[in-house]
Amino acid sequence: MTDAGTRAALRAVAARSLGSRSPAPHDAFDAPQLLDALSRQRLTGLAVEAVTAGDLALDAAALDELYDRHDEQMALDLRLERMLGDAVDVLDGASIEYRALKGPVLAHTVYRDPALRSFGDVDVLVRDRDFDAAINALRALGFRRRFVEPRPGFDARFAKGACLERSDGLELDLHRTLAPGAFGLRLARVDLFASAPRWFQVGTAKVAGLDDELAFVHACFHAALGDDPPRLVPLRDVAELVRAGVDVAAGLERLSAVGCAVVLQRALALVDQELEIDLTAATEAWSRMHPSTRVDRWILKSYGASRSYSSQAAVSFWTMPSMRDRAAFAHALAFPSRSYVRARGRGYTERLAKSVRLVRDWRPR
Amino acid sequence: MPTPATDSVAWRRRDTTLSRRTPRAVLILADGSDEPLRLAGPALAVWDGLDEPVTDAALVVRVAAATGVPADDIGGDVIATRTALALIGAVTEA
Repeated sequence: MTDAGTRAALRAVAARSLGSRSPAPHDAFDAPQLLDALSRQRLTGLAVEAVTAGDLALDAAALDELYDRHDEQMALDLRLERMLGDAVDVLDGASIEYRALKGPVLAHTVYRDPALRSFGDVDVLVRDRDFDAAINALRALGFRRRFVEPRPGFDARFAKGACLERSDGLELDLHRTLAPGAFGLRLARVDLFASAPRWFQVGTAKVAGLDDELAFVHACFHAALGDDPPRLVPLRDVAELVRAGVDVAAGLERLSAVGCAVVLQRALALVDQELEIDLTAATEAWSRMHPSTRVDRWILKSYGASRSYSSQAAVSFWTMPSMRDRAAFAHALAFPSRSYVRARGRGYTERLAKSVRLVRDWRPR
Repeated sequence: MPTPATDSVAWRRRDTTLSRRTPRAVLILADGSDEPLRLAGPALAVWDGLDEPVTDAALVVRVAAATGVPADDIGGDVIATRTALALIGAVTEA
């Protein structure tokens, strides 16, 4: 029983039935460790399926534990789905166009069974111009911002979005683009509302999700720029969408047009590395002809293991095409509102010194 | 107010009730409830029996067949469970 064996079993569960080179889970894993990892990674549904198919062997006690954990996760999924249905009712009522993202959309439209794709929160995208109105509308459901924004209107103009929370602990991430930092700003040039939504039902609520092509783009962003090391579910999402027939080459072309091709390339590389699923056939020739640039690699570094909000802000500053945006961005971060400074527990002078240092340290070289 | 056991009323799951099936149970979340309810054992058979409109008498027969317990022995529990599901709004008159 080794950590490597546990990690291998976890990866095999995450990659199951998608043509992975990774072997089926064997018994060289530590069951309690594996169960903890399955819960953390929200992979209990796939683990249950692996047990049922005879691909994962657990003793009776571990199996009981897995089933209990899966029941808990399913209960959370249901509460979140209910919250999503309520949220889209409120947005519809306020005439705010939206797209649901990630977990619930993929669970109901791409995965074979919603129980195979769990989630820990709900993500909803709205247009920049509707961002503040959406937050105000969602107050009716008890949502409030988890973090204060640097200055009024900052998130609607520069941030990926805002995390909203309720007193019952459930969270809704309200997005205006699909990723934080410089790549998020680049992607904001794509009209994410141009194509028709992919509709799905949650109870009697009819929910508009991103269509499969954009869901694939988002999955790649989440897989490549999310956690480091990457979580396994976003990687599986990429593979599931390809299995569902998404045109990878078209996605690459779309992202290339806004300077984000390297994100898709990195996502496919991670799927290959972590899940041992090779999806690069459609992009190999393109990638050979278009190696990533020095600037791409510099931006990617800001999403690495040593990432921070500050370093991403500094890279965003340097990659903004408009001087006017840069000035507004820098001013908001250097001289934020009093409530923001109080929430962060740092004075104006210290903030200003840190901002200058960061912008200098993260200057493109 | 939900109607008590009767053979003239058919019951069905409410469209607004969310559910997820798991290996040993079904989790359901009725409209207006904050917490999902876990149905296992005979209660799971009751939920399964409500997949299409059914009277209490027919539901008892279905659950008895699914669980292998005589209808006379299980009938009271089946009606109590169905009544409870109606009270929380998870099932409704068809």
